[in-house]
Amino acid sequence: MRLPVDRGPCYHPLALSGQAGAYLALFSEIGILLLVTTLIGVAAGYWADKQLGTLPVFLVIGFFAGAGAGAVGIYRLINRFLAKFE
Amino acid sequence: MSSDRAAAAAETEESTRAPESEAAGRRRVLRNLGLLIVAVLVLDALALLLVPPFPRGGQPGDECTFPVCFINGTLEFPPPHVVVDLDPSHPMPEGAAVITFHPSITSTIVTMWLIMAILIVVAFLATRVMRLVPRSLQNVLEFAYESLENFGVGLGGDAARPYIPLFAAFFILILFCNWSGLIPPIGKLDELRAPTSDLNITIGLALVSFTFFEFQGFRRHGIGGYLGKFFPVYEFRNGIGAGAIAMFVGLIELMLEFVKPVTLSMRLFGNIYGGEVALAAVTALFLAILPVAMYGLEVILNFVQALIFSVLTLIFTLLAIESHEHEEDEAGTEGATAMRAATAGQTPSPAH
Repeated sequence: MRLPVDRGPCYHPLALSGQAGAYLALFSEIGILLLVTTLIGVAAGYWADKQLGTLPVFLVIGFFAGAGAGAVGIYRLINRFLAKFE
Repeated sequence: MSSDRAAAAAETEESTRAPESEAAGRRRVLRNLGLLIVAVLVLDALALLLVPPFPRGGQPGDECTFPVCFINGTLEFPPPHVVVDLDPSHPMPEGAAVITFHPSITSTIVTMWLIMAILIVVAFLATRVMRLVPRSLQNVLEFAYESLENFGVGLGGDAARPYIPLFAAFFILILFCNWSGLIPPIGKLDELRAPTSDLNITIGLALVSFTFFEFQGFRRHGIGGYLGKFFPVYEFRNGIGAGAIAMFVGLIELMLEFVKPVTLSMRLFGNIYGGEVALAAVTALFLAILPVAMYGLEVILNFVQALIFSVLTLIFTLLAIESHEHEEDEAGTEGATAMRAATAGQTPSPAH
């Protein structure tokens, strides 16, 4: 009986699944990163407004700052991910 | 001659009989499946009549209106049940928030210890007598580990190889923690509950992952080198404006670094707890068929969530150990190449 030739991990079917798994994780992270950063920004803004009695000034600022930070984070994550895993 | 004819007739008869017996076998399987479905439905209906649902905290036989009371009776609330209170002088308030700061051993911790004990015993039994040509349990474990190794190396190349043990350990532990919630007594008894359906546990797991990948980053680049990623003071050599922008981006990067454990824990908790709530609601509202389909879906989703957590731990570790300056050098070289090509009126050729 001929044994299958080991061509290293790159030829293994699971190696291809590894890349698919990485993309799955990336897409999942993209979604939740924007949500979490926006929520953190809103929570911080709300807390600041409560302390200063300026509702909703810092809440709006926190919302945009959180969403902006999330967008920058997603951009950098995708860039680094593609540079590393493509 | 006559014997030939008889043989040919027998062959023809056999060939016509084969599809008939195949069809009969298929019919038998379908009939058995149908009978099984009817039996499950009858059992479910009998259970509903003989042991009807009762309100949460009430007694069997108390009136229970459909559907609110039915759903409430099967729902689990985010805070886990306290099994051993380590600070009885300050009892945990009822209906506490999702995250609780109260020293206690909860149902999720007990279940996690049980799962850990089972995994450790199985791993010990499988590797007690190691054989070159593996048999039974050793074979199963080697297959699982090699599959995960191939998966991880396929994802991150040889750089990922040293971190495969942690990747595999996270995956196997979280997978069984997720799946444990689908075994009926777990989640129904006060002392047992799926560990990953509790935010306190997923935060713990995420903090282990966070500590690991930050430690690997510091170990690879040193304290100054790794912190240089978040505080790039060397950029001030290119001017105050460039330095200020780099510091701003570095601060955002630092903030996003601390968001990583939050996203890891929230995702795992949200998916597993959400799945359990959906399963409980569907079980309360429908007879057996739809909950069974939902169970199948949950088995797959729980597997995917364990995979996502462990893959992200591996990816974050690989991103933490990659050289930041090298990355910038590469970007600089590519930029310079593009500039040279633009001045020469050519399109730059791709590096790879």
